[in-house]
Amino acid sequence: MDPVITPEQSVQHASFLSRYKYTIISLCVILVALIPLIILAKNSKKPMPATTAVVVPTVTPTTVPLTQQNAEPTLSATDTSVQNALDQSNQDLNSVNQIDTTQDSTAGL
Amino acid sequence: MTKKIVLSLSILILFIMTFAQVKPVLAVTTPGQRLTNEANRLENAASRSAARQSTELANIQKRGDAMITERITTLQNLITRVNNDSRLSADEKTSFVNDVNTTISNLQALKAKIDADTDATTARADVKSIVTSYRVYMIYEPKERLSVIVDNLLTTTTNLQNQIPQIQALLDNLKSQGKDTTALQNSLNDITAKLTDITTTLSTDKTNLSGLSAASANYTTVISGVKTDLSHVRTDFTTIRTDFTSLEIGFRALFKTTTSPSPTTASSSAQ
Repeated sequence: MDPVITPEQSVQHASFLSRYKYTIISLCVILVALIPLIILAKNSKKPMPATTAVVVPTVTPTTVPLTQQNAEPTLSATDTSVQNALDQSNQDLNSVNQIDTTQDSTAGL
Repeated sequence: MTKKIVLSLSILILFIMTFAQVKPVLAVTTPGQRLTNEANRLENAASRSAARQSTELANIQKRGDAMITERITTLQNLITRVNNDSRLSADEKTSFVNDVNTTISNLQALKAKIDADTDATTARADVKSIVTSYRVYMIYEPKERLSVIVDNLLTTTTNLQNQIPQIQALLDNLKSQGKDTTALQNSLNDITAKLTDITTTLSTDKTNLSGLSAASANYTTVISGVKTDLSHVRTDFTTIRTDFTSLEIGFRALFKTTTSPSPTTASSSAQ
């Protein structure tokens, strides 16, 4: 007569592979799914940081009535603003004079 | 006798062998062979020519790409300059930036065309058009930079002109109090006249500059004319600054006599 094997004994005697069959399959599926994810993550470039053009606001002077109290500082400020405009135009003119126009030569093309 | 025959045969064999060796040299090529040789020679020449043209095309494309990159960098610097300006109005900035961006887009399209060119002749013509169609350094950049200067100085002129009525009102007020405002009025008149001249000059320059394009033959005259005008305008502004200093000093003197009582009056009232 064959000895009777209880379900508990059957589980104890099963091999490691058959005991953890579904766990191993799940792990394999996860690993396989991770591969394209890793590849995609490596290939995807970081987005370029958005370049924000810093636009300097235009200064619009407000004209206030000239009085004895504010005449001198107003005239002085006006003089300074003219000087600044002239300095800036001087810088810009220097930039114009430094342009290398020979780069627009068609010689050798 | 046998010896002689053997000797003769040997000499004959030697003779034949000698000619057999020389045969390739003296060989006469047949028309078929000649045709094959010619075909091979032409094939080799064509192959060498194709390789040379391919290298030439690559070199032209490389040069074109470098030229366009340089120009785009220049134009982007121009945009930065405009955006950093504190005198140009928002509309003026938008107009400048849009214009420069259009040029950049056109250059990028030309770069794509050059990169796609398949023969050296077309590529060379396209590279040449980087210069002839845009004139970035000869015309475009000077035009844009000078236009920025002109617009800036026109803004400064407008700001000064807005102050003239205020100064005139103050002078009139002082005059009504019996003050001698003759010197101050002369300075103000000079400022007004100079500002009018400056406006006329700069407005003309602005029109002339806006008319410039890559095809303009008179660009040297226009650009050098604007530079000369700017030199005169700067001199006029220097005179205006001197006039403003005179106004400051004059007003200070007049205000002193207006606000502080004279020593004589003070002593007499004390008595």
